[in-house]
Amino acid sequence: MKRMERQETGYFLPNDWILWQSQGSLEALKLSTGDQIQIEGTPAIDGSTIELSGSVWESLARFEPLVGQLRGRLQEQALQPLTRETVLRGSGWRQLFVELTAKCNEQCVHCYAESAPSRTEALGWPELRDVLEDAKALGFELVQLTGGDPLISPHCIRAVEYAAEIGIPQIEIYTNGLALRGKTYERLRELTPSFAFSFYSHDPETHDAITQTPGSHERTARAIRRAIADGLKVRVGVISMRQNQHDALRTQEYLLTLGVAQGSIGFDQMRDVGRGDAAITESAAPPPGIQTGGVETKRLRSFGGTAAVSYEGTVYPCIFSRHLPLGTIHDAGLAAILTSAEPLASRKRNLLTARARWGEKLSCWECQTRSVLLEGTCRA
Amino acid sequence: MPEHSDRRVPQRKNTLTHEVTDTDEVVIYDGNTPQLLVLNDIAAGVWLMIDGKRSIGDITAEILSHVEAEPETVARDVAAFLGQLEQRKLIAWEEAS
Repeated sequence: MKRMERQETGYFLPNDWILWQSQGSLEALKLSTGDQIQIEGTPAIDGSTIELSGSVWESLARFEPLVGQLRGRLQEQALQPLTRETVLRGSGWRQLFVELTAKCNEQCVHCYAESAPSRTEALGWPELRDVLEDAKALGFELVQLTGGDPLISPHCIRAVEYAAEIGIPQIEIYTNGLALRGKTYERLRELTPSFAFSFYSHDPETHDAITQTPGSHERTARAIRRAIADGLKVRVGVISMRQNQHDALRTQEYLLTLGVAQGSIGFDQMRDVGRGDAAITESAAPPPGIQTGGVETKRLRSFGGTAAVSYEGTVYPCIFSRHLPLGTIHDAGLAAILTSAEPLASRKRNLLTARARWGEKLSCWECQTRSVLLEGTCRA
Repeated sequence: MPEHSDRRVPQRKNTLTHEVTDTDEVVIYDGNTPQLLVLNDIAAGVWLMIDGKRSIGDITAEILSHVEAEPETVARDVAAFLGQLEQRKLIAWEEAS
C-alpha cells in the first residue's frame, strides 16, 4: 500500500515518469509520451488522508490505463529524488552537442547560434579535450561537433581523432560542407565520422538567400555527393521556413538525387532562438507528407540524455535551451555540471499548464518539459 | 435557520463516471481531463447521495441519522465538501422545487 506523503515531493521513476506526491494527491508525467495523469483525494469530510490501496489502484486503472502502467513501474522500481541530474539524464546520456566555434562561413537568416564570419568565440583545445573525456566518462552515445561551422575550428580533426582514441561510440560533424575539402576532407575520410549537412532548397537562389552566401548551394551539394560516394554516413537537415517551405517536396527529391537516403533527410521547424527569434514571423512547418524531425517527435521513445556545450563554454540542456544555462566549463567540469545532485523545487506543479507557458519560447516538447523541471535552478 | 435546512440541490455533471471500490472509496473520472478523483469512504457516502433530488439539508439529515455528531459540524463539512466539488466543476446547483 502506498501512502501519500504530506510534504509535496518530486520524484523520478526511472526511466519514464516524473511524480509529485503530496497529501492526498499524485501528479504523474510520463516522459516518453507527454501523457499526464492527476489523482486527487478529498480529505474534506473527515480530514483523513487518501491511501492508494490495491483496490483503488485497480479501480483507477479501469478508467485510465496509464494508471496501470504507473502502478506496474512503481512495483518494479524505487522512486528517486528529483534532481538536476535525473532530469537531464533521463533514460541515459545520448547526445552531447559541442559548439567548437561561433565562426561560420555562412550567415543563415535563422541561425540559433547567431554564427557569422565575424564571430571569434571558440573552445580551446584543453577545454575541448576535457569535454570529450567527460562525455566518455558519462557514457554519451554520440558527440556532435557543431558551431558555427566546426570545420573552421583548428581543433576539429584533433577532436575527431581524440574521440575515437578514447572510445566515444559515435561522432558526428554538423556542417554546411563548404570547408569539407582538401586535406581536411582527406583526413576526415580516414577517420570516418558521420556527417550531418545543413541544406535549404533544391533552388540555388533560395538556398543562397537563406545562407546569405552566394555559391553555397553548389558547394554544399558537392560536399554531400562526395561524402556519399566515399561511403561516409550522411544525413541532411532542412530547416523549414517561409522562404523554402513551399518547395520542400522538390528539395527532398533533389536530395535523393544526390544519393541521400530517404530516411536520412529530416525536415525541422525553425526555432525562435538566436536569429530565428527575429526571423519567425509566421508558421513555417513542413508541409504534410514530409518526414520531419524534432518538432514532430513529441512522443519520444526516451526522454532526456542531451546536453550542449556552447562555443563560450556554457552548458545547456540542449543547443536550443539557451535560456537555461546550467554552468560553465570554465568554472566546473562538464561532468560536475551535469551530475549535480541539487534537488529541484519540490512544489506541486501542473505540468501541462507550466509547459504551455514555455511553449511560447520552445517548440520542442522535451525542452519545454525540462524547462519546467529545471527552471529556478539555472544561472540567470 | 440551521444549515442543514439548506435547500440547494447538488447535481452531478453528466459526463462523469464513477466506481465504488472494494474498500468503499469512490473513484471519479472525467473523460475530458486527465484527472482522477478518489473520495474516501465518508466523502464517498456524500457523493453517492447526490442524485439531483436531495438537498444539502436532506444529505446532512441522512448522515445524522447514521452517525452521532454535532449537526452544525456535519452540515458545515458537507457544505464545504460540496463546495470543493463545485470548484472542480464536478457538480452544479439547483434550487429545490
